[in-house]
Amino acid sequence: MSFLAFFFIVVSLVSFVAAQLILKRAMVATTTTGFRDAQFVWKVTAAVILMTISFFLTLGLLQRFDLSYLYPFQGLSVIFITLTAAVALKRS
Amino acid sequence: MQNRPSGFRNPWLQLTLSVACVLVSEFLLKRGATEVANTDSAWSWTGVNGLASPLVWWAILLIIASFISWLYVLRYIPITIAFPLSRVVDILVPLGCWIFLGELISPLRWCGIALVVIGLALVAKPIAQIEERL
Repeated sequence: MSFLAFFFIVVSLVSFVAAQLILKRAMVATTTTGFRDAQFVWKVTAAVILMTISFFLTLGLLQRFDLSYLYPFQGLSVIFITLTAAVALKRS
Repeated sequence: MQNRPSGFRNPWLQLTLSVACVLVSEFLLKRGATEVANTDSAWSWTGVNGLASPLVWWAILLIIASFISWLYVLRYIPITIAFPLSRVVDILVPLGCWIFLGELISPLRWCGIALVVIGLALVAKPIAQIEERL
């Protein structure tokens, strides 16, 4: 695997994890601010953009690698979300 | 899990459909991406050229369907049960790649897949329990 491929795998993973965390923050904030809050719209937009980036990078990677090679990296995102959520959202 | 609807609205059937949609969408994405692959172009790293394949569009539709189905599942089945069960795709996708896409999976890759599945099994229950408390 080239450095470029590794770089795109990491960017795809990081953008997906970041999107999930931003979405979670946005949804939690709606309990106090509601859905019409500018911060909520901004956060959801950012999350959707990040998920779109992750989707297209995965599509680009699928043109070069086997699905059985790339899919476990997507599974890793669940583990990373848990770890980063514990830090970013201060959860135990 | 009380008052569960039956037939097509049965949440267990919907969970199965959600997993099936994810599984098929992954295969369609792979087939679509391979169909339009142009690895000589630097732009192909962005994956945007993948939109030229109808299979990719079908995959997008299936991803949306699985999401809707998943939301429905969460209404009836506790996430502590639904989430770990949904991770069966992590085993089914590599198996499907081997059977349907004819991908050669080396023993080293199987070991890597097994490691990820073990990691997921370890975190799946704690994640689900955290979400359940929210």
